[in-house]
Amino acid sequence: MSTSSSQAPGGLRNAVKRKATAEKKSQSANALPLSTRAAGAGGSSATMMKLFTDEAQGLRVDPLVVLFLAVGFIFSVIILHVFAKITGKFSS
Amino acid sequence: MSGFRLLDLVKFFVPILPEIESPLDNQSFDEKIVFTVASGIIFILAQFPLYGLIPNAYLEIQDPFFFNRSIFAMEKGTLLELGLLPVITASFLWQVAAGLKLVKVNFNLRSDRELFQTGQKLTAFALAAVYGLGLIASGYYNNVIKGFEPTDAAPFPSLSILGLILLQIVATSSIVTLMVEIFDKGYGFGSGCLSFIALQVATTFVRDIISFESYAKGEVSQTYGALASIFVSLKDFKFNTESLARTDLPNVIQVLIVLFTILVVIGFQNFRIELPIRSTKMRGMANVFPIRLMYTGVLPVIFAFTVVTNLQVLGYSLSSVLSAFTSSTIASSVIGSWTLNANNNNLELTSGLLYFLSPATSVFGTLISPIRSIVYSSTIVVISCWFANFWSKISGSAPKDIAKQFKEQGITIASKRDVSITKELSRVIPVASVSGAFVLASIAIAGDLLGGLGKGVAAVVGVSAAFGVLEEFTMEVQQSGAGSQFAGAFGGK
Repeated sequence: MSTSSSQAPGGLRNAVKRKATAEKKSQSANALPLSTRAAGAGGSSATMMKLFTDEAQGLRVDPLVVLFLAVGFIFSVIILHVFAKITGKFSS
Repeated sequence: MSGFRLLDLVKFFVPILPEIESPLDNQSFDEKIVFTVASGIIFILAQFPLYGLIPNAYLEIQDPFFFNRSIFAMEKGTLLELGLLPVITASFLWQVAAGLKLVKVNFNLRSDRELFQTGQKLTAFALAAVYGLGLIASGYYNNVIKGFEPTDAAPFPSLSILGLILLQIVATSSIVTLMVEIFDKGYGFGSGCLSFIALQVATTFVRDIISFESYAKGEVSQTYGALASIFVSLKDFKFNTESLARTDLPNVIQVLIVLFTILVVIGFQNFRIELPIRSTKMRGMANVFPIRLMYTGVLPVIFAFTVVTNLQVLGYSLSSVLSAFTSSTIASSVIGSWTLNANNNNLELTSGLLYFLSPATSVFGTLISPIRSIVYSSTIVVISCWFANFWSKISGSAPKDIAKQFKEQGITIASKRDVSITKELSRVIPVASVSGAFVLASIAIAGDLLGGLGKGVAAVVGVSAAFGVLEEFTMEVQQSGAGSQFAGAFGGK
């Protein structure tokens, strides 16, 4: 034990303790990030919730297409309502 | 690669899931405004009544979720029946699970990040389908479906009409998810979820005050807006006190609660601790680094209400299905039992586990059921505080991460050594985030306990969300607003 406990100047006095701190340090340095932003990419920040910031694989669509489809979908529901009104008037 | 990962399951669905293209270069300021406004208008348009229900169905639907609708933009009887609930739930599920290391994700790998993101989207779609099915199976729509009268021969509506309703709800929810993605990919300002919440809260608030729509209620007709109602009655030279405390439509007390909440939240937005920093490279460069009280913004409160609302929605569906399809009522009444308030068609919880996770509907109700009030408030506050602490550690703004940024930029806290920056920051940041979450949750709860019916919570969430978006907006204006057509037109330059 006399060799391993040779004092490092300014360090911890005990070799076991030194090892423990070194391990702790390396562990915290090599810890995997726990979120996309912690890994340096986009994603939720402290105050903002963001889900989709990377470009992933999948069926590529243009944002404008999505917006137009959304409008189309809502209008199709409106048209259903209108048809229901018209046919309701004629049948009753 | 060791063993099975949940993330690998997502791979099967990757080819069929729609994925918005990222913008090739940074979107210009004007394009962002156009995309933001267009998505906002579509979101508002989606509050269109469902096809297949009777006219004014939203007045007739027996509503068990009345106190947490406005936070998630769940408009009853409309296409937006589920609102933002699926997408917000999906995002919290994955991000919290990753933070707690319940799912194995290596965020350093791009492929893993992409799968993670696709997993959130898939979960949002799946949750929408599950909640839609749950609502329909629970008989939520049964009394408002057009031309349907329950008889002994046919106690349930036809499958085709139920299928049509389910299709509308799930399709709208998917569209909302994709619009959130449009925002998040950088076509719009800020985060999609927060922008939509802010939009929803703002429009609801204005409608609650000054909407002049009128509804026939018995013999008298009532005006929807609380102040509009008084105004309309003044026209006939009498003062209508009806709207001061009515429970079927927005009342003056709710409006006051919301107004007060908004002011308090705005006041708290500016609370901050300023740490003196100085440059290590240049002499005499001194500045301050602000750490806000709302370090994690409104996310803790949203998280707490996401948990509660999910429990309510799932619990209600489960309880209804159990009581409809089994003979014993024990299991369903343990979850919760509801009674109809005939005045406003709200289904109010009267007992069961869920009873303790719901606010009372008035100050009086709060006082006569103290255990429920205490359990409900402490649940919300504890979840918020836990999440704030947790989120401040994992979201990439932890003391360690900020210390790293400081080092890269050659900044240090004045009169502190480089190594002790992390220590100094971790004395401030967790405290700030937890107390900020505590304050916001308390304001939200206070509104609820005073009988705000969830409007106070919505105000807290909406205003804070709007502040978050506004922050990004102003940053954008400063960076690239100079060449903008809109800034030229509206800024008066």
